[in-house]
Amino acid sequence: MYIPSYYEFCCKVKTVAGHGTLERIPGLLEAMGARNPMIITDKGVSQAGLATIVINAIEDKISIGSVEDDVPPDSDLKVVNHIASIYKKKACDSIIAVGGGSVLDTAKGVNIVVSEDADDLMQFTGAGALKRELKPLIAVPTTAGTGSEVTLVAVIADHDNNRKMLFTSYFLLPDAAIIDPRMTLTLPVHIAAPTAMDAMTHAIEAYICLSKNPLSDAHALEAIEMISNNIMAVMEAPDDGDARLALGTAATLAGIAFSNSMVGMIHTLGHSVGSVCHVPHGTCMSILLPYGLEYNMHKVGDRIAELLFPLAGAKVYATTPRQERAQKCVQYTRDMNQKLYEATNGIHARNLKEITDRDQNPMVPQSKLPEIARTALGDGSIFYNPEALEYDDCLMVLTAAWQGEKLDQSKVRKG
Amino acid sequence: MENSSFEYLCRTKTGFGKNALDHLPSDLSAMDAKKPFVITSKAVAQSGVTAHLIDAFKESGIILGIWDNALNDNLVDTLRDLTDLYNNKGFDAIIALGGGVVADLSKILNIIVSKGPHALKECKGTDNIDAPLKPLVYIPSGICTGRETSRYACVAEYAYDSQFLMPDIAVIDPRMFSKAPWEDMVNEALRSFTNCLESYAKEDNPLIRSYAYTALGVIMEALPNIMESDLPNNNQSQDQEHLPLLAKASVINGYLISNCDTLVCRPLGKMISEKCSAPEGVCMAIILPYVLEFLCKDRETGRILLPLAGIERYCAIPDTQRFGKVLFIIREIINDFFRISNGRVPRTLEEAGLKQEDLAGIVESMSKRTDIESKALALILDNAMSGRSMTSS
Repeated sequence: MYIPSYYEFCCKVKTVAGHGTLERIPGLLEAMGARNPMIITDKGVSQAGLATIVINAIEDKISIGSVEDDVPPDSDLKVVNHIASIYKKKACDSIIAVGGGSVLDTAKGVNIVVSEDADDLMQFTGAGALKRELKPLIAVPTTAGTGSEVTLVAVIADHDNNRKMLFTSYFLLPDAAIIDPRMTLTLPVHIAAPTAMDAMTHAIEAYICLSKNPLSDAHALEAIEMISNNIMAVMEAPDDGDARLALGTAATLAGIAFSNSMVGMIHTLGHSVGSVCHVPHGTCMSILLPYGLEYNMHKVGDRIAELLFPLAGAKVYATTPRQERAQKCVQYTRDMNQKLYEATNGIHARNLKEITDRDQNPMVPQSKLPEIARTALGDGSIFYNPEALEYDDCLMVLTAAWQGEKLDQSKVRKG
Repeated sequence: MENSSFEYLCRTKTGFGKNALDHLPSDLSAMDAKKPFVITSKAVAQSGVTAHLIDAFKESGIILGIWDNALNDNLVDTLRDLTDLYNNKGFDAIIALGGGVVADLSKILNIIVSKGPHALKECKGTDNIDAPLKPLVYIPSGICTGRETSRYACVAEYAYDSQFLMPDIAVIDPRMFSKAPWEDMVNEALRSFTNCLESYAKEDNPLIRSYAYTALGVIMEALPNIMESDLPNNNQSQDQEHLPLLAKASVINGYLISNCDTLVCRPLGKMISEKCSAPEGVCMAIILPYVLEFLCKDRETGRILLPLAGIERYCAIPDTQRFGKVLFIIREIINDFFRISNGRVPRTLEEAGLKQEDLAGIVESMSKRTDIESKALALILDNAMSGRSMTSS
């Protein structure tokens, strides 16, 4: 077991996972002295009927102060301040956030404004601006991937000034995360596949990158095994509630793992493909996962080898010669992408050149790879990667991932 | 997994390792604490470790007040005095430095100073605190039981159970530990070991498994060192290497006992210990294999070998042999302690001094706390008396 000389671990979020757990929300709020929650969600979640499922599950036991579904796909400062003003007008005393990353970010932003009794979120930028507990916040994730329900970060865009603001504080952690499979049961398989691989990447990078620690490792191992054991079950039977629950729970575990250990180059490059070419995050993660493992193999091959156990099971691990385990682990992630490609009738892309938009136009032209590589150098996660990356290294990895060819490990510069 | 659901909560941020204390001033600042009240005992203060705490805050601008008179008696009077001190001196956070008594006093003081003097009575019982209290830090300095970081606190007739009693921060810094008797270390190790392994086996909860896996890894690493250190003959630790590791496991044990309220070995071990000469942790470990055999009789259970054996050894052992290996490892640990302590650490309840005539009373008390039938409890105890395996009966 790798034990750093000093490490910290914190996840103050009460995790409540299982069938029928939405019904627990009124009790959880009551225990925190809250009686009039505001539901924050977005139009997509509302239209999919998920907000209604939440409302039906709780309205007998608690009055709902307001339902706000105006959250844009990219969280927005004005929306945060506007929703906060409604919260105050309707005398709400807590928040239930139903949605993905943007909804969670917005809810965290609103919670800052209403808890501090302010009018504008801008008063609370910068580290250490928050000094006390905020109002009760319950997160109900509707995708099984991002892990936002257990992270202490909120990213809010200030579109007027064309910038993104980052808020980081333990006080931003939700009080509870509710993992109920009813929230993901209708998620189409071609979205479930990359979001699950997003969670898988969180867990794998948490386990192999520089800031790992024994507690993040333990969460990561559980998450990887749960995803590996259940992802194909969801592909084959999308209404399999148990498998959906397992993926949702695993995403939360992976979120806990990476928020206590950071992520590395798969995120570095993935963020950049996302920001330059507007590709969904999970798709970037799925494609880049094997390449991140190959690039770091000479540095952390022993850690990668251990991952064969949660990915493939005890028997495969024990019967694979020790020196072959790490490469087999990489092959296993490639095989998963291939199976997901087949299960989604080719929608789940296996390489960057296969990614298309709704009109079947390629989203990542090869000519964009240099811009993506340059963007990657400014991403904070690059510092936590076991092996250093410079521009040429990023371009080499991106080129291989674009073609869908294995990385030539002899060309990786060994620092 | 149909109809299954689970919950898990650990409110504490934990810092482990070298110079961990140095992070405390900024962590307290982030909670707006400017004047923490340190509560400790004379013994801890005299060991000199408070100097490290004072050092860590030297250039932080945060002023510490230190009270070092925690004793085991007159705790209710002590609480009244501490409340006056806290309020009159304008403290705004609490740092508990030491073991169980210090932690209990600090938690209950926190209820009073956060909610008012009436809260001493009003917040008694389970879940009667509905909001976070003032910032509370726990720093172990020797033997711990795990209760320090749990949701429980008790002084005299005042007993509390609330998530808000878990400390905001726990800091395990090797500099803060002084010596401890070898047999106390063994007891601490076996207590954490038993709670963690039982939680891992019993709860279908991946968060509980993650914490238990980590703590068991720490204990399995510490055990051979404790055994080989030739300490039983001196009965006094000659170095401080093992205590921080054990404290790490105990702190996690506190998180686990806050989340698993149906553990069997913990209450049963306590009842046995009250009737014999062996300490609680040792009694818990003696009954652990029997309790596991009972709990796991109808379930797939090989998985619990993983935290004890590690990935490599676990994968090498066929599924059908894993549970047997678990029982073997537990018994080997107990038997080794028996051998190297020249018999002072018992292997069976009989060796622990428990009398046959006490068994019925223990079964009766325990059957009120668990849904395990009296007959099964009697069988567990009967076998553990002599060290006979359950399968043979």
